[in-house]
Amino acid sequence: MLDFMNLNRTLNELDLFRREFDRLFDTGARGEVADPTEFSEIGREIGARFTDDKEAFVLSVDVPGVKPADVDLQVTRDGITLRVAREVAVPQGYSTHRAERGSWRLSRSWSVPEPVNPELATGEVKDGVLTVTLPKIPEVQPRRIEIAS
Amino acid sequence: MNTNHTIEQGAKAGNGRGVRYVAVPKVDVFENSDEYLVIADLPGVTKDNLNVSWAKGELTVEARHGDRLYRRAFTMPDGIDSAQITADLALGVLTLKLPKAPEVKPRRIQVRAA
Repeated sequence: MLDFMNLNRTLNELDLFRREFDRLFDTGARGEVADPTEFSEIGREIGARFTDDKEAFVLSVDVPGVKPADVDLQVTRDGITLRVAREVAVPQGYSTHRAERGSWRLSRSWSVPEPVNPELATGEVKDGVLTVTLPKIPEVQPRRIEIAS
Repeated sequence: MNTNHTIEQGAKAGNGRGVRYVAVPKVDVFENSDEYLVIADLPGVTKDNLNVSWAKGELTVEARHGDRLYRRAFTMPDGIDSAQITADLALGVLTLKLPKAPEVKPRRIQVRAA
């Protein structure tokens, strides 16, 4: 379970992350996350959602304007490391009235609460959302035992 | 467009079915002599659940993605040729082109030697 110390640390990291994407890059910040449901509440801050669909963990991250080539994803049994770079430039010959979108870099690792199979993990970018599917290793899924009468 | 001319409306909507979060999309606004460009991050949005409307000088973008509703409105300066507004959605980014009406475009005056 995620304890309060860890939760606070994670929240602090996320706050820092939101304000200073660039500075966070390559600091190797690691949010130890044990409970995917709690994570999904926290992760919304950065447009990331972690769900557990029994067979797999599914991570979705908002990455508008990002192409597959801008994503670097590494998966181990214990978690994932994600690096995303988004570049936004002022179109040539235009003046700027408002610039909220900005360029950013995201570099983050997440632990998964149960081991996953890196060989079967998949990643997809569609309509500006990155979806990473991390199938669990079957051995650790609960098996229902029929009770003989 | 001057920042003073831009009236942003906070997210008022969100009572629609299944909407849990109302998000204000991040937007860039650019201008050149021919047009305004309004570019909005709308991750997860497809053209089927996107609605862009123009009424009385106000540009409104509304979109759905799962349980999220994106909403943002801008009051644009006078002189937009609203019939020529175009919208393009790619990679979760909406690009709106709002051409200026001919009468507000700067006209280059040829200077002749006397």
